[in-house]
Amino acid sequence: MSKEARPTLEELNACDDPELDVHGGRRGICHPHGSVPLYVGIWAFLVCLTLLTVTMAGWKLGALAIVAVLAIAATKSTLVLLGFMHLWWEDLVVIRLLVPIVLVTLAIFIGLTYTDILYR
Amino acid sequence: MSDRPAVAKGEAATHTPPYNPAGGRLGMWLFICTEVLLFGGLFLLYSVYRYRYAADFHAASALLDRVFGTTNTIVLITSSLTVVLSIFEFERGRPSRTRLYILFTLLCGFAFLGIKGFEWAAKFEHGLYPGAAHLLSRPFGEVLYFGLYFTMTGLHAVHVIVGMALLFTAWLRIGSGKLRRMRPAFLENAGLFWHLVDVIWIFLFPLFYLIS
Amino acid sequence: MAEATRNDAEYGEGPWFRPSTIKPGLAGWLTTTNHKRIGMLYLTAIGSFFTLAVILGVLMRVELFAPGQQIMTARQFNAMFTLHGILQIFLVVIPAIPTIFGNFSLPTLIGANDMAFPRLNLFSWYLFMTGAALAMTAVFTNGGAPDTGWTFYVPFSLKTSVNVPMATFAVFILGMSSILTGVNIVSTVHMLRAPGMSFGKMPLSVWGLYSTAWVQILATPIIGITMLLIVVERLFGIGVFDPTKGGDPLLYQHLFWIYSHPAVYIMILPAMGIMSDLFPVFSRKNIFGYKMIAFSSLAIASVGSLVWGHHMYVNGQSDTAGIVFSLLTFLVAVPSAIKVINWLATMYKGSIHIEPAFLYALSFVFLFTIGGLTGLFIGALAVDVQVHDTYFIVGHFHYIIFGGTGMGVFASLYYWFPKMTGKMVKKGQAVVAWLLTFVGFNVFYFPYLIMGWQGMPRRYFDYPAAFTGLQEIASVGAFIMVAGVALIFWNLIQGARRGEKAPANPWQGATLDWTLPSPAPLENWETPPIVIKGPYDFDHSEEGK
Repeated sequence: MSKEARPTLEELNACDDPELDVHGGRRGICHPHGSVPLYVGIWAFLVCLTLLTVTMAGWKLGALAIVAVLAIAATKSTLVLLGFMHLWWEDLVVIRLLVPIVLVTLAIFIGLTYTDILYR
Repeated sequence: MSDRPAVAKGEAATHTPPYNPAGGRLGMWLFICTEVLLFGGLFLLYSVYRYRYAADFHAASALLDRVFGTTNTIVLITSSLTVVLSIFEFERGRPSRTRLYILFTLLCGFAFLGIKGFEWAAKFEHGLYPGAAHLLSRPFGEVLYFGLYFTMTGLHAVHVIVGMALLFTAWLRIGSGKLRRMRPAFLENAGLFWHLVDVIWIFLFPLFYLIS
Repeated sequence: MAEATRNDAEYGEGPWFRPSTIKPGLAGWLTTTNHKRIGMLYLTAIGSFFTLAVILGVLMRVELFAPGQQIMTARQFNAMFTLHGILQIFLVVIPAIPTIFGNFSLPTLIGANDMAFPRLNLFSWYLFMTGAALAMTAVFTNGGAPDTGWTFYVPFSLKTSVNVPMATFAVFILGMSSILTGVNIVSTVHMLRAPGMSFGKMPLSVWGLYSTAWVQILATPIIGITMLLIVVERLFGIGVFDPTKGGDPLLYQHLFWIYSHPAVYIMILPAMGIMSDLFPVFSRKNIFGYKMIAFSSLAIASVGSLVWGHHMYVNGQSDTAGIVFSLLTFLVAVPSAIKVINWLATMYKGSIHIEPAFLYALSFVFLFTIGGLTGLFIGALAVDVQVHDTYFIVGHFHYIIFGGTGMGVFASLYYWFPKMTGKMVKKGQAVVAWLLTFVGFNVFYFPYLIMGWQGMPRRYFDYPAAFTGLQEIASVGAFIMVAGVALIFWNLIQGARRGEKAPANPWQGATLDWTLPSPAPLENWETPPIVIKGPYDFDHSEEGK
């Protein structure tokens, strides 16, 4: 570990100073999120899921195809949201609620539109 | 209250607002939500027209190149990894490695845009673009498929460019010392935007390229 | 130490509107990031757009005074109501309360020194002005003003040769401005409340602004993409709304109203929130049912996003959709009614003080209730078949928007006038202005409800002679009302220039904004105030002088 990497005294003090909020919470620079193996692992899993979804496109799944496709896409997105976008370690409640809020909103917009589309 | 960080000492009453990374992060997340909803309108249209013209969408999808699409997906996923690693390195006080990872991310961005441009050019050559006589002679569903394809991948590409601009700005600021280890907010928020670009593509890719 | 870091160096001591010594004049205003000054920038701009829109309205009422052509052609009339709609909806009523009072008052209500993102705040204003400039330019370029109605329905908006692309792009830019304001407000409420101010101790006006901000964030992107799609359709012909390419024009209406219905809640919710502050103050009594009112703001914001199909009952959507949307429309009336009941219950056995601000608050309740009840009529499927696209609809939304939010804006201006200007208006003149406005309003719009019921279609340049009587009455009412509004402007401007000096807390309010001097200083508090009591705890508040 290089000298440059070790936190300076000033930086360590900042971690203890309750009035200087360096990362919006107890995490981040003072208590780092994740690790390189974790991130690379997520990346590998994402690549695998990508190859899986491409392979499944060749199968005859009928109506189930769109469900499978969306399920895999949702899984990949969840990995990106929780792992890469740090939602797993997120302090602010309002931020953690944002994804469900947006999903419900979209579901409502699309769903209610379908009360028209399906029954015309 | 975990929701509200305390105000930095001595900065309460000046012009410049106190450093508030949690606030900035909340702001960027809220903005990201609006972008998701922006694309959401397009996904709504896609969903309705795919439902109505299922066979046409299937036929049109076969005209896209899955190799290019898959490559682009992996390129973006990799760029997301390098963005996360750049932040990881930055928090550990290694700005040079940070900048390297950012540069790699930008490289991926260019690769993505290059491949996308190549795909578009190929479609133009085959007369499969909105307004082209050849496309208009094809069934309704195919016309709409390509209309949506260009609109959605086009809007996505605009966001790729914006994301690259944000990351490049972070790269510059780290180099000039304006972005310091104890204040990583700009880089983190640029990273969040980049991940959004990745997530949108995660949905665009199978919906356009993998209609079986 | 805090003293030395105040803005004294640049602005000196004194009120928030004191000119900067470093950047004097206009430059100081155009580069400010201070929430009060930005609120003033918005007030000036929005006041001007409102005036322009009212002039267009007056011109229309002159044209409609008698059957046949009076002062304009049919094509010009179409452009008039389109522009009137675009101005009032996108440039006045949607932004008004969040940008004027959200900016000026919100930080003072929660004990903060500014919004969460002051520079983003200024950027929002520039986006707003850009959108306005584009909308104005659209009137004079490339075929001229759109004649599609502010709703830009396809296929006409795709085919008409006027400058639809620029107008719709202007709406897109205005949407971006609204989104960023919403982001700023949500972040401010989450991050900058003073110590001790839990969500349950926030003034209800803050709850109103907060709920509205969520709608701004979640709904506005949909109009953004819809307007972009109009531009893309016209430029590239992708076909998504074009039946000749397999597209569905009704999908445009779905996308359009998915935003534009919640937009009317963006208009009314913050006004209702401010009413919830005014009723306790002018009844000198704690609000009745704080929790229910706060909850009803969230309920209106969410349920109100589920009802958009009630604009499309007779436009070709399925009966199933009609039934679903009608049911949801009736549901959304409930939380609004809760608010009205709670305001009246607040007044009961209170100590009522009649001030101009409260006159407008009472007008709000009266006019909004009429508008809301007419909404129930048209929410019913069978009734709407009769009254869709008639004057009944126009009467309904003017009662709600002007009678509701409009009165709410006037109430807010009069309420916070001492805080903004440090002066008091001439009360007698203010009451006369109110009376003219209120009476004129009803003489103007009540005939609309009758005419609409009798079949008078909206957006029509001409009408059968049988409608002449009521049309004349409506026009006269409009002229009276506009005279009243002009007197309101005069009353406010003269009050700002020559009014009596205002005390710090003339209405004896208990919210934090009234603990600041009148006029408010540039920086609100050196150290954030500690909040112990609730926003309407009058028993413990200091007596205003």
